[in-house]
Amino acid sequence: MAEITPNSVRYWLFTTNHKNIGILYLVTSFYFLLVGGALALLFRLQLAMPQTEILSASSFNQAVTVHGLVMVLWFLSPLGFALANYIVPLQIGANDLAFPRLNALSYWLYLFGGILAAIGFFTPGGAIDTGWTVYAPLNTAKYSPQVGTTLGALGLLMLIASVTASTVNFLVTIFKMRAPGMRLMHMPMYTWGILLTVFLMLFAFPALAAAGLVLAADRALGTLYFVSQEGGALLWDNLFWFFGHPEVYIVLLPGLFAVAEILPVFARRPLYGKRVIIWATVAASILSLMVWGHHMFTTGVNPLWREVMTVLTETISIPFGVITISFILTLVGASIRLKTPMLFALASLVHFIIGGITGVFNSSVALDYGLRGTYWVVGHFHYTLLGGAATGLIAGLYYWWPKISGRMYDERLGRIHFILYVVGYNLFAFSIHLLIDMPRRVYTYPLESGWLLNNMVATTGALIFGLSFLLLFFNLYRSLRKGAEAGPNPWSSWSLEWLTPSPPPPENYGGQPVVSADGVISITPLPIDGGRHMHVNHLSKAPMLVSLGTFAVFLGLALSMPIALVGLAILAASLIIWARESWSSHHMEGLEFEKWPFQGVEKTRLGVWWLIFGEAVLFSGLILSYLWVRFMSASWPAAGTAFDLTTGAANTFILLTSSFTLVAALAAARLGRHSMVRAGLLTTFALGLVFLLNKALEWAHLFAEGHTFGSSLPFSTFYVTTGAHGAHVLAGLIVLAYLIVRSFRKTEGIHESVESFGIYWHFVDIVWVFLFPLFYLF
Amino acid sequence: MSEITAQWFQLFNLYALLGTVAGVVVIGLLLFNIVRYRARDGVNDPPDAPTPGRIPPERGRIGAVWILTGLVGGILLTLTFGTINTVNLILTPPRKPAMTVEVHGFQWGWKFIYPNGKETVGELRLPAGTPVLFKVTSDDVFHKFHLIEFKYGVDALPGRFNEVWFSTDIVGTYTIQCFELCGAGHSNMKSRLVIMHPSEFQKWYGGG
Repeated sequence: MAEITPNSVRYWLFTTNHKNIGILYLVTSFYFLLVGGALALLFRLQLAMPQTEILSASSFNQAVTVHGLVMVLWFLSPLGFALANYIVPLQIGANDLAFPRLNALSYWLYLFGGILAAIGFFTPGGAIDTGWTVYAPLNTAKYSPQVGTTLGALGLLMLIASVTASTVNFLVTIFKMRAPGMRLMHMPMYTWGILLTVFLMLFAFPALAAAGLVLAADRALGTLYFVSQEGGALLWDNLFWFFGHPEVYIVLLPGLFAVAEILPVFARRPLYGKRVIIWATVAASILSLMVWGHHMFTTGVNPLWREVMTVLTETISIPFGVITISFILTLVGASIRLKTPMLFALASLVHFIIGGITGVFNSSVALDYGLRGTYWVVGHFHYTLLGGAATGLIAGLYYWWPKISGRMYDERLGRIHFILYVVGYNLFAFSIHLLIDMPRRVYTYPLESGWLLNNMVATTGALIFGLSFLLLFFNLYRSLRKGAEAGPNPWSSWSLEWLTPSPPPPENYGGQPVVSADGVISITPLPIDGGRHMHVNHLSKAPMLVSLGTFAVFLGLALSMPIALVGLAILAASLIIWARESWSSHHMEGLEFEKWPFQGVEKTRLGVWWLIFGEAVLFSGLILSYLWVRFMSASWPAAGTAFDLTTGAANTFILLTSSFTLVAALAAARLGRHSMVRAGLLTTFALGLVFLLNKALEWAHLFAEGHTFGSSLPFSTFYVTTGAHGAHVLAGLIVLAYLIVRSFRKTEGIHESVESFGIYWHFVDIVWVFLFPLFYLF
Repeated sequence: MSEITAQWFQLFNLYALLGTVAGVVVIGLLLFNIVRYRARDGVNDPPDAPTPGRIPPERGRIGAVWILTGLVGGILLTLTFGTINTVNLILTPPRKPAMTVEVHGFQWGWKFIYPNGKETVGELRLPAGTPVLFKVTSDDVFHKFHLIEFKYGVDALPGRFNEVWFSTDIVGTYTIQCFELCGAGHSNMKSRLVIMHPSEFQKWYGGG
């Protein structure tokens, strides 16, 4: 594919280079900003005056829902990861992410997932209209029957898959590919922010995956989790907010750490308390996993639990206070240059302080009786997420733009943009903050309410704010045309990405960056020209096609089966392409990369371990949902009566045996006994297949007896939970089939592949060890 | 105003006071530093300015953290104390509620069922000065029963009854509105809350 040049469409469809993927993310996230922003301006116009009829009630609901989902999940986080894709490998001196094809897959799943979620506007009944929190039971087919809501849920699942792949990729990259000599504490702050973000993603997104899977099953198959009063509103609330609160920090941290990166550069002083800021963020992140209940203060949950949640939530302001003060102390004794990136970084900090303080109000159970569901809450999270996080990322965009484009933007236009942005934003956000009596998500309100003035000012501000982005786009476009050459390091920054030309060459550095013991970074020339150049521009059709196939399958599931079949064909073909591509990364000889604390673990294996961690959270979510529904139900079938114990026991035996045969295959691979490897893999495959067939027979039998997906909660939970497990077995068999083919063709390195696969397979077996007693015995 | 609302405002004002002071001090400090330490002509960079290709030395002592934690912790302790105090007042009626009214949210309106079986839709009549217990539930989706003027409300969930008490001395008409998105009719899911003289209420209630 050597003839494909950067000017061709195919190059951009098939690229796997992290910088290209970063640019794709950047462009796409701004596309979604335009989608979400246009919707926002539409409903701001609707709300500017009482009793307006620009939007109907139902289109208003669709607009606010898609605005929320798109802005949080398809604009803000991806903008952070656009910069992360481009900058993080450069900042740690790597030549790419650990798994470049997986990175391309993340991007395409993200893009197609977003299209899937937004395409609902063009279907009968319109797009998803449940609010971005998708509360149950409004999210069920009974109350939101349109196909748009199903598409929204499926788009969300694609996004989760994308995020999971990114999470694994960044964790392995940061832990395995740091330049020789670069300790974790040496890493620039943006890389730190991304590391902490992906750690949070690892916990939070699988919980959303569990919620999304169950919702998709409820809508597509007719299971009863959220329709029933036993599951219903509170089950969704718990699952969603266990994801939702950490998600706030997932969105915030890239912006906050972009600020931490920019402040010292333009203040000309080292960051005050780098170590303290990092540990404070770790503390806040851990706390963020324990405070989801503060979104449920008025649902009538246990009063003691609520007070614990209040105290934990208020505690979060301590680490964030420490971070804020450290930022301010960085400026003491400085020589501050108020260039555009610095202006945006400082504005982000001010907005974040305001949003942080009004957030303390929301942490109070008592105040929440009055504040929940009002525009006060909308004001609060717009201050943190838009005013804080987005502004920080805009600062980051101005800061890294010379590196990405090789050109300087126009400073004067940047400052005009800044003024319009800050004035417009604060007019908007402060005035909605004052609407303490106005309910969220009403499409109109009466004149007597007294809400006119604040709404009018908010709309005016939002218009100024929204239009200010045109200046940003114009400025960036202009810089590409006639911007001054940036040179490698226009800001006199210290970090690694500024040591290479702007834009960097495909392989990032002309040699290998090395950090010496006294903190000096140097680029060691390559011993032989070759190694690093081999795969940096490797093109692959597979990631885009896999995502397209998944998109078509999901679209077909919601709309019509033939599309799903076409999708399945694309998916199968693209997986074969993926498996057949020769893809090996080349390491430089003689240099030891920094791998603390995972020195002994091979790259792929570390990736699988992180994946398993996420899977464990996903299955915990599914199992807890099952237990929730079961304990909320007044009656449940007696132990051992609903499902045939013999079938379950037989399957347990089969699956456990398959773990042993896989261990045997691994032992044989280590010894180089290749016929034994093949025998072991084939036996494992056969056992997995028998497991699935046995399961299919069991389901067919249950269906014949009239126990369908939606016949009762015991069966709904059984089908969803064991079905999700069965899908994991099936996925395992697909990989196993690949390994078997490989074991006949190329035996080199097979023991590493078998070992990585073994982690996954044993995990799937262990999950069954939990499921078997829960469904068959008790 | 009701006792609950008075309590709510008292707590809100405490938060607002401490929040404003903290905000003004912190943002003031930030702005002061920006003005004080702006780059000027003829002034060189600080000696520890970031140098290309060199990892900056770490600076910043952990002592600042303890001072700050102490300060913020003190503020939070005050606020938490106030919150728990107020929650207890909000949750515990001053005397046994004289009447229990079932509140049913539905797409899209509110139904009120009185102890004597009387049912109203779209209007809730209550006697002034009498504590009433609401048992709030929903007949379909997630709603929030919210009394706008009183800054007070609780979620209405299908299959659950959330209990809150309420009382006010002031005769008049107020607005009940749904505060959780519940479908196309959400914006107009309102009812009137009519607080009547107890004698008038009795006339209406008994005569139903």
